[in-house]
Amino acid sequence: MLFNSLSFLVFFPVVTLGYYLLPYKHRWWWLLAASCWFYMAFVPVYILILGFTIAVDYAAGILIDRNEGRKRKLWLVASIVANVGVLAFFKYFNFLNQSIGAVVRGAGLPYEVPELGILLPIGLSFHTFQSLSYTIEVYRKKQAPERRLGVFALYVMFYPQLVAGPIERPANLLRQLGMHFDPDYDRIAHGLRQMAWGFFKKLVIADRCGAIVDLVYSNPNQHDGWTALVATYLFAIQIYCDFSGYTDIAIGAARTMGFELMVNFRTPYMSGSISEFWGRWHISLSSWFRDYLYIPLGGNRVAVPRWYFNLFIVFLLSGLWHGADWTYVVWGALHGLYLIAAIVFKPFWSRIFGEMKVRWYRWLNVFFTFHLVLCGWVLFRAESIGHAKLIFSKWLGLNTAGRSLAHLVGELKPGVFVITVFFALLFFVIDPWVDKWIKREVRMPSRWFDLAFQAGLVVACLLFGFYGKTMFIYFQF
Amino acid sequence: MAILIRILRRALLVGLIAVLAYVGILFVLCKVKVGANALVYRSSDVYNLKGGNTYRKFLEYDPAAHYDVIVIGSSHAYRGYDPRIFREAGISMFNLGTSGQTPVNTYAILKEYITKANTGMVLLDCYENAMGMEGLESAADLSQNITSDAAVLRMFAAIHDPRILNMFTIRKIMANEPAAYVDSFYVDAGFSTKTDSVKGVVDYGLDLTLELGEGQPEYLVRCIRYCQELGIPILLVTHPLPHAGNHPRHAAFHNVIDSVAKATEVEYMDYAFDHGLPLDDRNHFYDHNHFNQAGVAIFNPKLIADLRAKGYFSQ
Repeated sequence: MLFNSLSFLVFFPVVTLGYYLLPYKHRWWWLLAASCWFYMAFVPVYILILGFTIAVDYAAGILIDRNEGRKRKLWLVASIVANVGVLAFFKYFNFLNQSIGAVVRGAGLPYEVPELGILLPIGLSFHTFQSLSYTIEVYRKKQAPERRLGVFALYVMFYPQLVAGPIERPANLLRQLGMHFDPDYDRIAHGLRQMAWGFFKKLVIADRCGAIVDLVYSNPNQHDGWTALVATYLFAIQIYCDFSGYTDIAIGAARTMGFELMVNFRTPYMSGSISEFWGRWHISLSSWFRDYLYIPLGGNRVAVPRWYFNLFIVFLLSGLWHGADWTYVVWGALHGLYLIAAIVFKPFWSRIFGEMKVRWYRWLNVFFTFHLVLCGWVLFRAESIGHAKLIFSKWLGLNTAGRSLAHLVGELKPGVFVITVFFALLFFVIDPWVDKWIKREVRMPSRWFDLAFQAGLVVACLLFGFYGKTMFIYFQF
Repeated sequence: MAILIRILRRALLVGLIAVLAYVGILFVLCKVKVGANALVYRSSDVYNLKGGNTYRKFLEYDPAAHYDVIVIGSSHAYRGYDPRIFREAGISMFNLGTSGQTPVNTYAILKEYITKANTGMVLLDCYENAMGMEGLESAADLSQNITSDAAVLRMFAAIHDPRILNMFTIRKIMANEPAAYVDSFYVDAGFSTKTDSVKGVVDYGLDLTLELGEGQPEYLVRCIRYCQELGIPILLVTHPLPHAGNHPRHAAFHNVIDSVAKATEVEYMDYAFDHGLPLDDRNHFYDHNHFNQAGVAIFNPKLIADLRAKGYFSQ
């Protein structure tokens, strides 16, 4: 079920109301049933895959806890193999098959392994990682195994964050599933407020930007460098609003029932460096990779070349996590290289700029970081490496062919383009403030301002929302 | 309970402010003109201006009169069935076809404009391109031009797209505004004609496969059932398509419509590629699949003759 669908407008109040009306001890199954319903609205049969993951990790958790030494490790490995195996089969089989096929055929040899005609189960990478974090935490003895299968299933399937995160940890979500929440006016109002902000970001900004981005990126050959640049700026806004919009709806929906999910974004485009960016963007994923891959590899407490290798491999895998395509792999590698370059050149920059504390220096870094990220987004959005190269060559003026931005604006209707750009710019201005307000770091000037702001979000969604069948970008991962 | 009441009170307050702001903003967008038209038409690519074929036909349509035949459907309908030819054959006909009309839209029109007293039979033109849409394009046209508010709300309820609510509000705000343009090809009784013929290269969409809009076959069934409940005979028709058209796609479409026809026990007369008429792709069409007047003049007498042969209009 999509958050931006009429079904969800019915589903959400029914589930929330039902949750509070039921006695505490019955709430878990109500939420589990609702989560199953939510997931099965996509491709019902894929619930079986989820069921398999849940069964394996539930059993693994108990068996890891019961055993010590080698056996304990064996059960962890079994859990990892099962989870990664499912992920590899559904997500990466065709990619690997195509890549191997290209190499073999390139060598002049025949290659006839057919592709699998399967749809990627929605949110597979998210719930696989969430489930894995449980078995790893049990193995590390930081988490007691969950003996109630239904509650564990709910931990993996909790509907607000099931298909696109935040990727939760058992210490946060599993613990809360055992807690009793009474209805609380402030918390519910706060949750609804965050949901409204999420819907605004998705419908009014992300999808409007997306319509323009799609036109350019589906056929970059037809557009000139300026148009490609504007489209990439819009994509940067689209992907942030799309993903953080989903997260806001998820966190808001969970909060109305009392659950606090992880913070997943902290105004990432205000970052002054790439490492800061990754501390503010998709925090639940970057911290997952940090805790379960980067640190076990040795983190930065190793020889310098090994440290670079650790950074690079983590980002390469992070790219691959996003999608089974070379564009994502190169995107991940690029971010790895950014980080390594930042470390290598740090002494050099320090010598030039010293410890400058002036505000403009901070803004210069923000500007520079944003544009490095922007280059990465070209790879992330392009349909192939060839398309990405074409866009870069257009940016650099090496390829001047293609229609102008004015042509694209005319094709869209100037008013539609102006409204999109207006909301995109407005968002950039107000996002840092609203983000603090949503996270309750600052208060609204007055109650009436608060109400008017929420009403404004509803009206903007109604009048300027982009409607149609648009998925959240991160659902595909 | 107290918390629920507080939440509801807050929601009501937010809702009230939202409604005031919503109407206020739309009012300003409708009243402020940029160039010849109101600003609201520049804010989205789906809002239609008032005027054109649909506006004229619904002004002209008299629900109190009786028509032997009501033709309904998409652009194929209002460009392919000429009331003058029917009139010459002694049959009164009104054409309620409108641009991009899908069964979802057709159903709303049938519910509001068709009665046993004013309609002898319904002839529903089925066209794959129209049935591939969700019904929003047609709702944009109908919402500004038809006379029934209920029909617009009915489409909103069926399509679930908030933009139709916006269209409805624009319709109410612009109610006293005159039509913004006229359809110079409009003839009468809902029919528009074109005399151009095909020139140059035409894209017949040969690479397209059949994709039907969500719920469209179900709404086609609803349209048929509604007429049957009223006791009005209903026929499904597809008018001739150019020989160079997409045959496999139409074959798939034929199967869908044929199965609906069989399930609802109505007749489906598919003239798409099987008509035995001396039609050619350039002289009898004005684009990739719409008839010009020369094509209509060949097809309509054949249709009337076939209907008579089947026993219609015998009294």
